[in-house]
Amino acid sequence: MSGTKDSDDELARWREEWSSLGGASELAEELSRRVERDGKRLRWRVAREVLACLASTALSGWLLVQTRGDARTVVISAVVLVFNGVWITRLLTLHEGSLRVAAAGLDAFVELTRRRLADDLRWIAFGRRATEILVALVAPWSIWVLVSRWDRYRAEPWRAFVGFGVAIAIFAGVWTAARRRRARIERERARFEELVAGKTLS
Amino acid sequence: MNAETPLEQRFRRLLSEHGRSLERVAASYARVAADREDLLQDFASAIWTALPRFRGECSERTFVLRIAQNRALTFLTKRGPVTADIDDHADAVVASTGKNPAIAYARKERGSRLLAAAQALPVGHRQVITLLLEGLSHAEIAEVLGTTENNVAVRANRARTALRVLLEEDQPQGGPS
Repeated sequence: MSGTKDSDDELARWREEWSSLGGASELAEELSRRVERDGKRLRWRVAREVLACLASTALSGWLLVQTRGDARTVVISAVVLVFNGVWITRLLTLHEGSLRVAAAGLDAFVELTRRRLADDLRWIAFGRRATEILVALVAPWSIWVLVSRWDRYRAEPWRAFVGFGVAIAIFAGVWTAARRRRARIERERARFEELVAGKTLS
Repeated sequence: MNAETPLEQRFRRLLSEHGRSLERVAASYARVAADREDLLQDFASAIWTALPRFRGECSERTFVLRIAQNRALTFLTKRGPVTADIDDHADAVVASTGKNPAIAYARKERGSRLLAAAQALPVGHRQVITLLLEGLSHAEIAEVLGTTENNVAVRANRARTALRVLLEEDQPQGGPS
């Protein structure tokens, strides 16, 4: 009995000390302001992405009508539409995931976080694969352009440097960004599993 | 002047009622002031995002603390290498001296030894002890963590023992060091 009472006294003492910590009175106001600001920024970002998708879809449609179904325009429009579809799906999936995960119980949170990280890795793998396919398509076309316009490029080499240089820089940038992001998420996943293992063993 | 929507009013009320609890949870997970501030903002954003879906399935305190615990776990998995390095260094000090540097530092800086000891606990223990110190019952903690009361009782017992050991080990002997 005495052990239980000591233990209760100890907890009461700890609780008293604990409750004296913290207490900035203006905290609620400050946090509300920041959340409002962040919320606006987030909504704008989502709106910009959706608008960009809508604009590029509309532009593709307009080009299709203007060129009356020219083969090259059809191919480019198809690529744009597939990309937009994938992008919007990703946006909605991540948004839904972040809404569900916030207020979940711990076990559900662990499960949903694992799923979120796995989804993120799948999206990155998809992006890298799509980039590889695009490179496989663009590379022979670039060689063909280079050969067919060889005289022009010899006369004005800057055209080749700018044109092919920008394309190479874009692909290299996408490739590197995807690699970095994958490495970051894998680190995050390893750390998360470490924490979850600590939780289970404790 | 824009009138506040009921959701905004509810959000502000939640923050002013539970702000101090959120601060303490943030402090038990983030040792650096800047990290603490980021974490607090993260809690607030997550509460704002989840609030429209909250239908009163649990108490508001449970709702707020559950979000805070989840975000804190995410913070620990995402935090940068700088903080991780500090923690690794702290762990190395513990291994070589047997003393907990966080508690020694808190004593030196006249900070809370209880908070420093809570920060030094493994995450599983830390979750339970911070909720226990917030005054939640085992049933409420089980609700926050989405686990059983028995599990909470076992973890709470171990966490309290670990906290006691940490605080006793660092009792000042012969004046502050």
